[in-house]
Amino acid sequence: MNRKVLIAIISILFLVLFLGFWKGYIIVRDVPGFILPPPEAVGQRFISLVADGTFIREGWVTLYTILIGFSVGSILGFTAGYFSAKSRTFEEVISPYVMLIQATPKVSLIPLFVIWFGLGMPSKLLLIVLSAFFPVMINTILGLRSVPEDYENLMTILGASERQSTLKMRLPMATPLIMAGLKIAMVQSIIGAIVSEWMAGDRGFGYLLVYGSSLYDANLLMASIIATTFLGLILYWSIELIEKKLLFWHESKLAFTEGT
Amino acid sequence: MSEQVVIVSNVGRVFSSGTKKDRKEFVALDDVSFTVNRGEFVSLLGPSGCGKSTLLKIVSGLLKASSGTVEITEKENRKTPPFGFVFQDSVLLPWRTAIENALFPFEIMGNKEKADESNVRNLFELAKLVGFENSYPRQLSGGMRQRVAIVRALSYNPPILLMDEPFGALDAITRDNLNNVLLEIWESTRKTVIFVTHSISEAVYLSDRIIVMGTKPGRVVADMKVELPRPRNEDSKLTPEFYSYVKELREMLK
Repeated sequence: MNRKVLIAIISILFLVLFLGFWKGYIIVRDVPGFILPPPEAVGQRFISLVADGTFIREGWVTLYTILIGFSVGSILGFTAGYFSAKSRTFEEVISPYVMLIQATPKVSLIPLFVIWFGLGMPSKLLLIVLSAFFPVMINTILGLRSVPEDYENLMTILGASERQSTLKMRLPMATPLIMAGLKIAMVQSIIGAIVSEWMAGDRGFGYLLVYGSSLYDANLLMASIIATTFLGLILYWSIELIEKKLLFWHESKLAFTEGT
Repeated sequence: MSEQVVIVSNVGRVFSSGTKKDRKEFVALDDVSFTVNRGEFVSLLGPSGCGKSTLLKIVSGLLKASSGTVEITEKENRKTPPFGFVFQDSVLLPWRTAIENALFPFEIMGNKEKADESNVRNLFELAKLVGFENSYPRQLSGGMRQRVAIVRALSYNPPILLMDEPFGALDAITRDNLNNVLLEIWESTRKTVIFVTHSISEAVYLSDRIIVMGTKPGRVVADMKVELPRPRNEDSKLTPEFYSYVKELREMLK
């Protein structure tokens, strides 16, 4: 049998088994619905929350919060990384501060942000920007610094300008590591958005989670967790898609042309 | 007498490391002098640490000499760089196909339109790369990548080709192959070549002249003409003359 078909069948079996165990456990142990609702109830709730627009509305808030915070944080991180890689002096000046902020769990800053900026967008965005900034900055430095010396020598021999070297050689060479940084930044941004919505939000998936918890509505909670997971997956896959397009030439992406 | 195009006079190079108080100085090259004539194939031969790669980088201008001078007479009246440089690794841009890599120098020099495509096509043929123009470096073998690197170095028709152990990372069979490809390219373009190697037989097979270098400090110990008839081929390696050159050099490098 085809290996792919086999994998698909086993995966489906595994899911059925999981749902069966879930349902069976509730029946056998007589678990009340407000602690662990049965899978079909969660499914129904999920569908109705999509249908009545709640998930679309709240998901949209979470989505654009993530996208704005992630974009701003990544651009700032890239810029800081670029100048740090270029100038040792700049790097040495900012590195103690960077280390200090990086060692601080970003989540621990939210209560302070709430005092300073209130409940709402500014607090949330600040947290996400900080979460995305560091992985992008550090990977940009790493990527630009790990360009082999002979590539620089080649550009010198050809008489390339600083601008040409950066645009045509250094940045593309650094792209695999920068993309890896962006992927970490995306995961961090999603976590940052959900956590900040718990604390400082009145909208979004994070808010739905807190709301469900306060009402003992496990059904709403589990449906929201699934929706949050979908959002995370879509965002992560988007980054991977961009990476695949940009890094078609990289070892990790060329496996499918092997042997041609 | 033929025209001298590279004149290296009393070149020295010192690398220093360590702190200000505890300064360590390392003499990589000491009082090195030699000349290269137009169209000549010259090898710099020596053990690791003799400064042959450093010397090549000084000739190309990538490194500065601590003392002495390097004169390149071909520099005048040229808009394009006087050198093509082939490194130990191919240093190809992995997101560009073979042909795009070969044309890359024109893009840097800002005359993409005036790219000498017939020259590049001709070089692809000489390097036996026809049919692989649109392959990415990752899809090419190590030997083919190095051939693309040679084509790129010669694409803008520089008068001097500098090669820094270009076949050092290849297996023996591929290396023999590339030596023949290089000879063919050289026979048809008659570039001035300075070739760094630590392989005695490679140096004898390819060169008109071998500059033998020694270590501690890096210096020239001999300047030896190789008068094997050209064009050379695999059979040249089986002649007694070839062996006597190899033997003499081996003695010298002991």
